[in-house]
Amino acid sequence: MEIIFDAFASFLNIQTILFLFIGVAVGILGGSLPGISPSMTISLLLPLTLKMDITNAVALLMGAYQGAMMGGSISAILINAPGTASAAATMLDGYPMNQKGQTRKALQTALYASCAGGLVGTFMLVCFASALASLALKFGAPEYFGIMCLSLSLIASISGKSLLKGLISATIGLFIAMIGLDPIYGTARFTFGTTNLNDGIDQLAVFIGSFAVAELMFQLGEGRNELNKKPEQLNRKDSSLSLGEFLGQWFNIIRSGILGALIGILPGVGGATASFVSYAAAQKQSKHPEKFGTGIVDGVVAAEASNNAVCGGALVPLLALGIPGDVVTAVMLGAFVALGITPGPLLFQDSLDTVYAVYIAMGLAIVVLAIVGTVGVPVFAKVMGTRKSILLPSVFLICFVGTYAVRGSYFTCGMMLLFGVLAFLLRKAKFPLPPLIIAFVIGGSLESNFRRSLLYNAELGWKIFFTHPMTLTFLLAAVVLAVLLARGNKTKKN
Amino acid sequence: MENENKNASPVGLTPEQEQSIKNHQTNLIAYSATTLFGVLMATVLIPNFVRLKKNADFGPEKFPYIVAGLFIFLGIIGIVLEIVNARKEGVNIPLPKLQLKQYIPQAILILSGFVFIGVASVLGFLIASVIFMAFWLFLYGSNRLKINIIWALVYGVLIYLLFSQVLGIRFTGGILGF
Repeated sequence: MEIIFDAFASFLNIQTILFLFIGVAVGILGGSLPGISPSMTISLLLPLTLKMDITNAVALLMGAYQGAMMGGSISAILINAPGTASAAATMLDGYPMNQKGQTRKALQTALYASCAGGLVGTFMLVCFASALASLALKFGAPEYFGIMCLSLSLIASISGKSLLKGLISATIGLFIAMIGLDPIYGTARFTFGTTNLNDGIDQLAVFIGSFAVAELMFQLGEGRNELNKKPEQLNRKDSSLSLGEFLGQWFNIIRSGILGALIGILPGVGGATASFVSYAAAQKQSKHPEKFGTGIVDGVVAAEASNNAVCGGALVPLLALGIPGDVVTAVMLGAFVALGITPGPLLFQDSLDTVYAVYIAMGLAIVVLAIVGTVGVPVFAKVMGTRKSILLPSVFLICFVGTYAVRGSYFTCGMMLLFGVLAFLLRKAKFPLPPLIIAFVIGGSLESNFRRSLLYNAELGWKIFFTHPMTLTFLLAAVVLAVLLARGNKTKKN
Repeated sequence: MENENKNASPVGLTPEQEQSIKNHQTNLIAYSATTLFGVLMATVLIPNFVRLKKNADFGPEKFPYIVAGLFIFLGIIGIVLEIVNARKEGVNIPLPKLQLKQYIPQAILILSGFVFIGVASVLGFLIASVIFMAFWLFLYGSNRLKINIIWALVYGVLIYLLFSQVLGIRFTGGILGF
């Protein structure tokens, strides 16, 4: 207990609290700008931390981590372009809420859901770090394949009115995921002779193109006169999130937070998968699943609670085993090592005070996020008072800058435009986009884990999926879930 | 005769029926395109653009063939279901009339995007941003020339400075050298 109090006391000074605020503010800014990922934001702060003491450095980095994960929702809600890949699911209900004049409410929902989800993730980190890290170590390629299949089965619930169109969308996503070098043998697939496609299509180019550019194309259909009209002033009172509404989401928050934290523990899976899985789970269990996608609080809560909970989950393998859970924690590993912190099993024996410092920094970062975000939300909401004839071209330019910033290549910008056209055509034909995005995000992992599993044991071959109990459980759950969800969709349609 | 539904089209279809026919037409086109793409993938794209690995049990081409098969299977199912549903509704699905004129603004937007990429590579990101920002403001309905030019300048420079100076992103220099 003494160690905990000492660790907490080390944060109670103005300098450390200031660094927390700076970290959160920079994180929100970085996360909200498309093309500036959380890992890039933390990388930019890294040189600053080298001259700091451990407490201040940890405060800055944890603040930036939480801020960046929440910041992605701002652009997702305001301009239908996710600031980070993890905020892609937030667009599904966040942007429609914005369009209904509930901008402030959507931003507040995203903020407080992020804070609540972050708390759940931190709680999971504190309570289960060692145990969960050991379990994650037992996961091999077959188990990962099983989890990917389970995630894919959720497509049945987010396919909207037509399961067939959802499946075709998902197949398009799988195709896009195959572009690039083969994950096992490194041979080129559908690169058409250009090295620009060797790394595949960048996620942000797909997200920004599919959502933001396609939406910009649809908005053009409204006509120049309509776009040049001054928007109605938002009624402050009507578009705020009430305490009752937020507390009514407690089950959604806890479920999404747990899902996000669990998915965050698995190396390589990431916030995008977590937010879509939680979104689909929330839709499945909702009394009004047909309202998802039309602009409801539940959808934003599920996505945002989950992606901030990933922060806590991703730190589990990092602290307990020295294995980064995602790209961001991989950058953090470098920061920790530079600060003299060696993540791994010995950290819990030799430097327990550092472990508690990380836990406390995560918790305090969430409090600071709530404060900074609450002050910032009205400012961000003001953006929607701008005429569309000014706002939309400004968004278009940001889309270019954002996708260019990812790889420093105009080729990515070209890809963004092509996906904008594809998404526009799909939407015109009433094909749902979420299945495409999910399949694209997990398609690469799905295939590589499937093929790695086959390579484990040449004699067993495909039977390996039935000899690993956890894999078999995931696969059976995937089949059962897909059938139940599909039947549920059919019943609602009838 | 004069009291017939004034919303009916000249051929006697209600708006709902017209919409139903349009939906069937769109779906048939989409499912046909899906099937054709699957065939194209299996016969042209995979053989020519997927490098094989010798002696591989489950090589790089297997998964693409599975995906191609899915496209063909789902596309055919869609076509069949659409025809069956149309027959149940008693609707004939004529060939669709392509009304491409309504998509001219979208085409201009996307083409201008590609031109922007080309111009930015040559003239530099900053100059291209200012020029095209002014164009896009006009495209989206802002007719005030002075406001368009001022906003294009201010916003273009702000975005450039934010990303290049604060966030360290290196843009193409072009004729200005920065």
